[in-house]
Amino acid sequence: MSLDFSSIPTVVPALLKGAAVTLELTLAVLVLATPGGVLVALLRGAPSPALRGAVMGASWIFRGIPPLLLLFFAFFGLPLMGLTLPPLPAAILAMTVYMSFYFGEVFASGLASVPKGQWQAAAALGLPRHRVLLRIILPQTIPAALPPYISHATEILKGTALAAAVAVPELTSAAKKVFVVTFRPMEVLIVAAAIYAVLDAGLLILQMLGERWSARRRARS
Amino acid sequence: MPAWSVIAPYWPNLLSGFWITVQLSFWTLLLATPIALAIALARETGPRWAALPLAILVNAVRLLPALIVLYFVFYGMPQFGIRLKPFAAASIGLVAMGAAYMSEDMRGAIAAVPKGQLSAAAALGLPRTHAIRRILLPQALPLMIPPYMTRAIIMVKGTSLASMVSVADLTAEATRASSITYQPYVFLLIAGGFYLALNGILALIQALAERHLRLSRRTAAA
Amino acid sequence: MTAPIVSVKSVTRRYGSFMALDDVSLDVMPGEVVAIIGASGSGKSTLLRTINHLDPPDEGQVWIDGRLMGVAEGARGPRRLSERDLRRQRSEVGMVFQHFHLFPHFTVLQNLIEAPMAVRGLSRPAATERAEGLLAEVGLEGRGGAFPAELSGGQQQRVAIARALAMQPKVMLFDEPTSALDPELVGEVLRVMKRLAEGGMTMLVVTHEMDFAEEAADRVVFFDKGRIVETGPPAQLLRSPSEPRTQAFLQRLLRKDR
Repeated sequence: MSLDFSSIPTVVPALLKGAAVTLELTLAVLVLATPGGVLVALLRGAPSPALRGAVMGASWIFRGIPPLLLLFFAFFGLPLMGLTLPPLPAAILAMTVYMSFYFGEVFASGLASVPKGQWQAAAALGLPRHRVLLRIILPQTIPAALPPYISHATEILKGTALAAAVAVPELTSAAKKVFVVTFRPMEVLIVAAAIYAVLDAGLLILQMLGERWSARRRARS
Repeated sequence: MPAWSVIAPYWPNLLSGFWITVQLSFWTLLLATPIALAIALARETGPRWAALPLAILVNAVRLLPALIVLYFVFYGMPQFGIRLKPFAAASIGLVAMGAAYMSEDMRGAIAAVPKGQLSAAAALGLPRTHAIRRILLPQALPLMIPPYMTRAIIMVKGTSLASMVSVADLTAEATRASSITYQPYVFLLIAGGFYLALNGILALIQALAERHLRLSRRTAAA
Repeated sequence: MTAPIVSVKSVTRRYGSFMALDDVSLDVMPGEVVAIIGASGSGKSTLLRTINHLDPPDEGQVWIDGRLMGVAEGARGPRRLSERDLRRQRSEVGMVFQHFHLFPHFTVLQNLIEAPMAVRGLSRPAATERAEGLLAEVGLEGRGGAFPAELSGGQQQRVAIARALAMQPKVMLFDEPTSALDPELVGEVLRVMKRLAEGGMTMLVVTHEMDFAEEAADRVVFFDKGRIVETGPPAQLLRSPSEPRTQAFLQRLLRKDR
């Protein structure tokens, strides 16, 4: 049996609609999980050992279980706690929590890459701690943290396909909805894959620009 | 916390789901590892005619969501008369994904071995395969272990996608029990615990492997 | 008159548009020690790498002991040598690198016996015996069990020399063998090389050590921009060079030393 793309034009609008949801989901998670990651990284360096331990334990747990399970938990489990979320917000919540801990690891090692002397030098000048962090330390973590940050960010796009499991009408579930009707899964999947590739390519270009920028920053320092 | 009486009827299903997850993890890792190593070696030390198509293939797979890759195997292949059982279809998809990512990790480790090592081996007249086996790989191996184990954990978590193509794995059994009993907490938590245990074992293996390498190799990289 | 053991004939090597070697010819007689000097990037190291075909030349030929490197004389004219035969040819040319390139996961002894066993087919006892003799020659008797990282740079480079000698090469190539060493460790390596030269080994040495060139070399070759500018006995080339470019190079070197 050979491929036959003749029916594809009629399904493309549905796929593009799915792609729009995929993009929406990706951006929402990116925007929310980035500050989430900064928070996790800062809490990992908190003065209280109990808090530090709790954050590290949570990080280990959330990075150790399948994101699909987290998604089901947000979708099926939270309503029992009185929080019923529609599919899209539930998916955003689950993926944000998941990605926050991944970003947390990235940012924590970025923080560790700043020489201890920087803290001491800033403290010796009498700068308040939050100012040291915001003005002195965080800007210096960016060159080291940017490349792994962006490569994790590209994972978000691919991860959004999981939302298909809880009926979010993103690209993968749109594709499935189409091909169970047309009985031509291969053609539909190829088109869906091509759309993912285009979205990915956009992120990859950002990644390359970011890596070049951070390499230049590092070379200068 | 619900009583054991809620869990008990589904306990055998959860265990059989867990067993499927263990098998999926085992087969994916067992098959993906040599494929990934072969791809990494071919791309790093092989001729251009082999390296280029592999690079295209690996990056094409890496552009796609894992679920789409599984759909290709499970829903797409039958269109060409290749009808696979869910477990086999999921395994193939997961191996393809895993091998693509893993080969990139391994390539990084191979590239981190100083180029002079292969020059020195060539200057001594050592055959290429001998140099790869005795000089390059032993030095790349310790560098491969940490990213390998990280990748292995990601792959174990990734087996949960098999539930989306009708494999009755741990995730599938846990969600099924949840939707019947309306007690999602307990079943999803149990499933989460099983996954963590599986990954804990991998982390333990990593620690042992790294200690073993340190002991057997008293040297730092020169 | 004896034939040269190394004969480089009109060799050219480009990297992209960069001309690393531009029509270079050089004959080296058996037992001769040739020091090659010149600024970095002038093509000296590339010359060594083309001689043993780690970097095959784009044009020109390299002859070692009467045999054309990388080319087999077939019944129907010359053809490219198989990878296996090229390896065999290459193993007859010893090479010592600036950064040693010892195998860090092997002990010193394993570094020395790996290639004799794998390429020459020596038995382990025979290879070990030869290795121990060579270690004694480079002043590292009894250090066979050490790992490279446990040795000083000078000791590592002496091991690297012994590793190359273990293949019983006809010619030894040295690519800036002391440039990566702390100044106080340079002497021990140069002493080993001088002894080797006195023992009749044919040597091509890319170096910045003018004292070594003056004392141990039979001939000095000055390289600039991928070409041989001037060649002559050390006393003449180093003391009263005829080419202005050689003069300028030596003057810069002299100023740096002060």
